[in-house]
Amino acid sequence: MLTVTNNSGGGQPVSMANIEAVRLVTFTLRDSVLPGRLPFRRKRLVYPATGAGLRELDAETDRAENVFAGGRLHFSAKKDAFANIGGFLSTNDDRLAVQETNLLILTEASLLTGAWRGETWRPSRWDCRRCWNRPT
Amino acid sequence: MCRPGHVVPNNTHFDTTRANIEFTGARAVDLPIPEAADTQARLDFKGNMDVEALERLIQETGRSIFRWRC
Repeated sequence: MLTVTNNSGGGQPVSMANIEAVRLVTFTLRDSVLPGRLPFRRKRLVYPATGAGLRELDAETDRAENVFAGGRLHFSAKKDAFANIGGFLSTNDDRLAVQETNLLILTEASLLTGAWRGETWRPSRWDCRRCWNRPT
Repeated sequence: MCRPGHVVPNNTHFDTTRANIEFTGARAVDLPIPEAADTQARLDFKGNMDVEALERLIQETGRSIFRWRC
């Protein structure tokens, strides 16, 4: 799990390069240390941790997708211009998406604060692209 | 999803995230970079995870690391 700018950490940001490095470590070690099938395309493990910043990722959308190819993205967006909703949950696991959608605790506050939306990966990926591609 | 014995690494767990993990009996482990402990240090990405510490944790705890079931 990687928390990107959370309040308990003082809102400190996490670099895209760090996200990618964490992903590489978890996926490569999972293959050797943690038994279990690898659900994502192995070729995506070979991306070097180049220190790529947000702009570089913006130019390489496919690569940006890989940053979140770990499978789950939990995005809290209660107070920003990007999405004034409770946030969204993103997963590339349809079964888990259904479970998240059916959890009332994730959606019952929608009238007041916006809902946590159980989403499959693809619609939420569009939201991410829109955020990354916004003019600075 | 977590169970007793599971280990859940994070750069810094949000307080409610930690509470929910520990409520299940799992162990939430914070792995911020060492510089994060210096309140006077100014860094562009002070929230980064300590990747080497993560690697050590995974090697030490092995199967106890929590994994999403895919």
